[in-house]
Amino acid sequence: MATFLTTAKMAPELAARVDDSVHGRHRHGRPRRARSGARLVSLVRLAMALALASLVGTVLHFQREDRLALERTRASLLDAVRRPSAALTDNDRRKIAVIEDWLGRFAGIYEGDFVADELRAPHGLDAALRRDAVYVRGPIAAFAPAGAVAAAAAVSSKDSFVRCLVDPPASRAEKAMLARVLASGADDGNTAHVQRLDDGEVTLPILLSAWSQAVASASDAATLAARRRQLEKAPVERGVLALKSEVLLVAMDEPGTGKGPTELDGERAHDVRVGVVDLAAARVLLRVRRHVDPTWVSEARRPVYASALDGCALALDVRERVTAR
Amino acid sequence: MAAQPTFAAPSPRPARPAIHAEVSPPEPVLIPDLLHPTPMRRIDAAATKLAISLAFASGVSGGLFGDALDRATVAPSTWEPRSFASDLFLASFVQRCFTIRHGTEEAALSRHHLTNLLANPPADVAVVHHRRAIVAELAGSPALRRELDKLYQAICRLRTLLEGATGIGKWDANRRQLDILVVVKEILDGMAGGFGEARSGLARLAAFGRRVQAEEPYRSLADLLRYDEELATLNLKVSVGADGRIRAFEVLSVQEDAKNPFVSSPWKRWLGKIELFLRGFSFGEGEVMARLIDAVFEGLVDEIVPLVQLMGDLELYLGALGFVDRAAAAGLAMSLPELVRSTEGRLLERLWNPLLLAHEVTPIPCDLATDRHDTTVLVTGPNSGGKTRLLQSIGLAQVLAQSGLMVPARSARLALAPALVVSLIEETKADQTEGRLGTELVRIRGLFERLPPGAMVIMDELCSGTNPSEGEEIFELVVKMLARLTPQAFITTHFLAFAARLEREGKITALRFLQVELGPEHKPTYQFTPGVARTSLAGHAAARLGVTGEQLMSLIDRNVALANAGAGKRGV
Repeated sequence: MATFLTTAKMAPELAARVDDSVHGRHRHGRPRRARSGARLVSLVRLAMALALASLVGTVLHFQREDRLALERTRASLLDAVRRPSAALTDNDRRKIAVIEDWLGRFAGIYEGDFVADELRAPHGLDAALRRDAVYVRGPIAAFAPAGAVAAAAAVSSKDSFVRCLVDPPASRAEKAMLARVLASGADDGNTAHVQRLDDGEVTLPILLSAWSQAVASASDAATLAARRRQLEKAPVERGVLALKSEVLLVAMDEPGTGKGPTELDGERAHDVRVGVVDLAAARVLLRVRRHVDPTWVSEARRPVYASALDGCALALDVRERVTAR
Repeated sequence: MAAQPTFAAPSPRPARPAIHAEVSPPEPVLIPDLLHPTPMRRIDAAATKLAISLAFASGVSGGLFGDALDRATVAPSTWEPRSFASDLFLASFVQRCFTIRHGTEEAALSRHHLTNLLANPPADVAVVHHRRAIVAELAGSPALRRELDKLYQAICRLRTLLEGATGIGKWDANRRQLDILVVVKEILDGMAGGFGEARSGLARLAAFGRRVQAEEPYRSLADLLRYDEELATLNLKVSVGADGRIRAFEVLSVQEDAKNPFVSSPWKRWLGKIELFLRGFSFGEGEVMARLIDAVFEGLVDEIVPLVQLMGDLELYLGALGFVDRAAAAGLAMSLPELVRSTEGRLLERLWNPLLLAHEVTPIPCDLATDRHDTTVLVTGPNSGGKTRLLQSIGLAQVLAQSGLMVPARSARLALAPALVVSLIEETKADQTEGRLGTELVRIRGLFERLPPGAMVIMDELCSGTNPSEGEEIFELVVKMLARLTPQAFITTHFLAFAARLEREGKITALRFLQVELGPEHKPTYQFTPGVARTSLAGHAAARLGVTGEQLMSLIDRNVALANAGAGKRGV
């Protein structure tokens, strides 16, 4: 192999001698030991250079792999939110704010019971309750303007009140209500169109453009991993349904009277405000306030089912209030 | 006032020294040999080349120049050094008389080599004439001698740089090697340019220099040195303030010597460094330069090897001329002898003894003339009359003449001899098995064993180790036998009656007689006239050295008195 020390301007004889010098070839002979020593050093350095090149190559390879993995993660995240995000309208994206506004109003000074005429019509309430709805229940303080709606929504589930309201038990008998409560715990079929507000609260930030931009501009895997965990925790499908819901169903527990005992499951005598809002029409359909008191529950079931049975009884009270003339 | 050195005008005979002996050789000069008309490689080229390469690489050679010259061969010679060298104190003569001075410093010559050259004069007369022509031209042309001296000094610097890394060269190998290459170029340039007008064998130096200059290795050498000195030219603009300080410094332009074959682009030089590192060399600009220097040197080393031999040649000529200078400073003349046939007359005008000059004694020149060379000259005279000094002078003059150099005489006419046998000193040795007579007989036997016809024989006090009557018989036998070999013989003797008889009888025609001339009060004048001395003036010598009867008696009386005084003190 030619050497970099020669130039095109050199005489061929000189170039050959430079080449000889670089390769350790001397016409008058160099001691064999010196030649073999130089060759050994050369081999060691060559091996070190190859090792270094391999190391650099490996580092570059893994860097490239990491970069590709990053891009794949980024693409998968963006792809995961692209379709549900596209499904949302601007109204849908404002839905949480609208709901929280309604919740604030309901948590304020109670404006008295109200039942819209359409609910009073035969099967009016059932018709309203069959529409896509979003439900939340919690302490009334959580829904005040300075409250913590998200925190209350996070622990609010489709409880016995929702189930008994949408699909009431056959009678007010404790046994009948308990059978409905226990059955509905395993079967969500009748309330499938009712979504938890929390699903919408958790999902909305992911489907906003700011989240996609943050994902697109993320430069490290840790940021994308955090976004992925956020995405994985979000029930996107249910969240989209919650954001697209037409009806708000809310139950706000007022503070207890303090006169009766508090059961082991936390239930005690207190007032509950119930509201139904037509979100599309921005109109209240139902606003009632009822008192619940678990003392009517048999002592055998009260420690465990007081809250569930009270919820179901509240649902029946609401239905009766709607149909009362 | 010191006498100017003179040299004999060339004789019209074929044996005369011919300045035109060397003509421009048709073939390229590969060896700048100044000693022989046909260039000879006399040093071990392979070993010297290896030594030079190692010295160039390491800076330590342990005297490669001296070693190479000490082992150098000489032209074929019929002379045997052991027959004369020690008796003539040849090594001492070379050491004390062959000097080259540069200012106040005296160069360290390869004396073994010089002694070897003088002890083995060339058998080929053409070689002698070749050298005589060079000596004649140098003696007649101060400019050429200055050039030769400059060349010698440059080679000395080359030797110093090669043989011993000192100063900065010890730490910066590239700088030292570049310095060596600079000196090599200086030498080659000096050879090519300094001897263009020479008409003797010195012209070979110019031919050698020009031949090397025309070849690629020299061009690469010049390019490399230019690369080292002038890689690029910067055009600068420097602004100086009123206080004399530099205020602004601007590089207006950079001109790289793009035509230089060693100049390459920066990125290529950088790749070169990487390449060298991977090949086991150091990483750096210095290593790149080292490879280029190595390549240039590798091309030149074959031209450097002959310079080692040339150094020895220069020492012979410049040392001999240094001897002439020293003689001239002492008012003594030297000359190139006229070379004649042995049947012609010998003439040594104002001959003087170099060994005396070497020991800071101003010799008294004498004239010596014989009608022909192939005679046996019996020299008689008093002790301390200069007979042995005369023999030394004759012997050394013959040695120098045979080597093509100037002889210690104002003018000389000499015949070359096929051999030289000198017997001047016979010291008693601890291991000798014979007495004085036996030793003398062994000496005579040895003389005849190695004496070819026509040789020069120089013997001091033949047969002095036995009683006169028997010694004279042996002496006569030797003289008669010598005549059969027609030698150029010079023999001293104190057998005065015997010598007078031989002169009177005239039976041996080849015999000639010289005697020490005596001045007023019978003191020797250190001149020599024809004839046989009547006395050895032993009494004069005895008186001078305190060996008269009266002087010896006074010594005896003193010793007896001292012995008696010692006995009285001890109470004996």
